[in-house]
Amino acid sequence: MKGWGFLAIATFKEGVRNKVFYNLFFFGLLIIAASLILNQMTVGDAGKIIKDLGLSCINIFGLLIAVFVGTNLVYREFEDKIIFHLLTKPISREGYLLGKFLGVMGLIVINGLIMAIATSSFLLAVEGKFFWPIFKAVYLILLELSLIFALTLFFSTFMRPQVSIFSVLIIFVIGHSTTEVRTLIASKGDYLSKLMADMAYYIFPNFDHFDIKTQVVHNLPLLPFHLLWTTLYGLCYTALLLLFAGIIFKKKEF
Amino acid sequence: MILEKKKIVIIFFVCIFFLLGGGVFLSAARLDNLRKDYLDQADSLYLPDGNYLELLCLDHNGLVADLFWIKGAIYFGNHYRRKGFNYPWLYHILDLATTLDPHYYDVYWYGSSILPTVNQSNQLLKKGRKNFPLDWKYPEMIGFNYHFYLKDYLKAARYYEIASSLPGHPPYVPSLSGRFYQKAREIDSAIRVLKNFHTTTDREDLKKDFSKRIKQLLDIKMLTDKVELFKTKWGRPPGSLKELLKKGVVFELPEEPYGGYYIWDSDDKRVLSSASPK
Repeated sequence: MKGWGFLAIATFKEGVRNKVFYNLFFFGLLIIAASLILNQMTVGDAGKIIKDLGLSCINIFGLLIAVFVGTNLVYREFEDKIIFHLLTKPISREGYLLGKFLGVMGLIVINGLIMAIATSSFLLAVEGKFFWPIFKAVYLILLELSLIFALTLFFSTFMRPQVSIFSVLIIFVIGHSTTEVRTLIASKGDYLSKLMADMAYYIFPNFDHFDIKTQVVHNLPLLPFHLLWTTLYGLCYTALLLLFAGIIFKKKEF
Repeated sequence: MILEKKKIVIIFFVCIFFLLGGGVFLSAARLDNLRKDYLDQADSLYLPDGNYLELLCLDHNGLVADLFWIKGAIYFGNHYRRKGFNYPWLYHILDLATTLDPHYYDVYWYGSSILPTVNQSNQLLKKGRKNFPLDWKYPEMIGFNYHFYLKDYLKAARYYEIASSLPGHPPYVPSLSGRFYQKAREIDSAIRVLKNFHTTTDREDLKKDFSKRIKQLLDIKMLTDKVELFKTKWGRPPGSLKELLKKGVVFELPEEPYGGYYIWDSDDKRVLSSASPK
């Protein structure tokens, strides 16, 4: 195994021991469990609230892990000067970033899968059948989170952690609302607003592409090749961000 | 001496604990009582516009729609049986839930039956019809609202006709459409709906039943035309259908397919069958 592989495993192990990760993980599971109570307060489809709450928790808590745990794990090595020790080992700077990325992504994937299994188990208890399509939505959520973590890593190479976290959260909000903003402005806004909305739409990552929660929850058919094109979009964007992060990190002087 | 001091401190903190705990309990109980009055101030409920709320949901529309549906159910439950209360915000809450999640079947279905006015119920069902264009239950429910509550038989018949053109509809739907077209004096439309169902159904028992119904309507149409002819000739409507025979307007009265007979209802000024309800 190459240096970045060992680093990925070490990052994963370090993340598993992280208190922030545990807090987020158990709090997420607790909220998913709370869907059983919310379920009693509504009329009709017993499983809908469990599916909605489960998928939203996987997305939101995954985001928090990617941003807070990710930034913490990377920045602490800069702050504690561990980076000097690491860079003397036979591992390139790009390899270092890749190892960090894969380690934290391992953490995010495990967290997402456990939450998805918890949601499916509650559905099994309520509806009497295992809800497999949830894993399609979880797959795209994990792809979205990989893009978000790549963004975090990219900002972490040249920003202070607080600024980096803030920037990622802002881009998360923009990326989830550009489609709606563009639609609203197209009907009411002036030329300049439309131009700005168009620019934001194309420059920022469009997280709407990763959202198939409605289709999965209501058992609606997905558009042909949706998963394939979204996978391509997510992987290309993530790779691009990691590439830029690698270039900046290579030129960085400590 | 030190022990004494320690005891005093412990007693002091226990007293403080009970004092503060009592304060929390009393104020909470008082607030619970006060907040009941908020039920009367339903107008102060703040609800944003659905389109803008969609923007703020950041793709968690389904979950926010769930919360609005729960809010709507609680709002309805809190005010249920209150004299003179007509849930002024209920439609807006359900509209928001269905704007955020247009495929939220339960909100359309249960929501339309708890809304305070039939027009609001129809508005919600029409929104549901847009999002579930192949579901026959939405136009059927709208048709029911028109015939049962609004007594608008023509609109009821039209919605039943739409429902009867959608897959999976039960046989009573085209039958109702025919019946209400007849009630609205649109006999041609009634015949059209029934003939359409007759040609598309595979069930022989239904084909047989609908043939009888079509025959009955064709007879009623023919007799209505003859009554009109009678009126133009003699300047008054006939006293009974037998008068048509006597005056030679018809050579024989057709046989009623359900074993009854046809009658001229002079009050309602229409031909009816004794076998069908008025």
